[in-house]
Amino acid sequence: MVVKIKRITFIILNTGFKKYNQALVKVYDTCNNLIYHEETYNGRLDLLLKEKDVYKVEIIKNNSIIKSSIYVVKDKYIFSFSRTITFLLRDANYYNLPIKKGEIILWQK
Amino acid sequence: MAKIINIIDGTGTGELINDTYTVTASVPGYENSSINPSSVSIVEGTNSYSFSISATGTLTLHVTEDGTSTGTPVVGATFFRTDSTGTEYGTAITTDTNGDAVFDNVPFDQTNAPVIYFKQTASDGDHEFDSTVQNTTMTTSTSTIEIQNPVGATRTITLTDSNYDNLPISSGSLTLTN
Repeated sequence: MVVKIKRITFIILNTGFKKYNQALVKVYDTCNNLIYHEETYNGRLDLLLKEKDVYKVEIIKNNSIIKSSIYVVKDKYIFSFSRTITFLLRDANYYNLPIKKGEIILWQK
Repeated sequence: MAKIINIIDGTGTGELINDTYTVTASVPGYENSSINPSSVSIVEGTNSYSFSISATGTLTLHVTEDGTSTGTPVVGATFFRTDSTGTEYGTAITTDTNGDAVFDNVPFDQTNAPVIYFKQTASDGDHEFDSTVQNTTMTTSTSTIEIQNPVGATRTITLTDSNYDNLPISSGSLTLTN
């Protein structure tokens, strides 16, 4: 069986410039062997992985971690760290009157 | 996947990645479908997002001299919606010839109605009023509260001659302007 190696790029959003404030990327195969253990540069990392194979990915930056799995078919995989977002909810008819209690629900499209 | 943001006193926080989200609301007393905007894009560099929501109830303040539904109406009494500390929101409402002032778009709920705060800021100049923050809750879409603005108390004014101790001035008038 011919194994095709594919060159892919990881793009990690919310990282710094060049080598500053970058993320550490770890890639494991399905047997949990560590295949890659490298830092991004400008938020990017190029890798050579087996096409149509599954890998586990860990991306670590400061105290945050993204854990994901990829199936190698695309050229580019984009990852984004979450951050704290503040939501303000006011009464539409009484300018700036804060809503005492309730919930806003956000659904990813 | 849904992310629930709990709102307390107008503010809530959550951990989110950059993406576009559909927004729904669950706010007791308010019309959840009126949440605005109904879609939000969380983007790099912006960490605070504002929303608004509407209610559909009507609160009538009926102001009379004796505080009853049949009392003499007081015209020109003004009120504001406030928070619990008395900070004013929105525009003032004023009693009409029937003594009625109306807060539109106020929240109501049969079991979980939020508290509505308001205060009176003026009467018509001839009646006393309570300026402290008042509150109510509405379990139905319309409600009327009776408010008393009693006639100013009778005061006795004396006018005496300043050079002859206690000598009353027989006639004349004093004008007091507030």
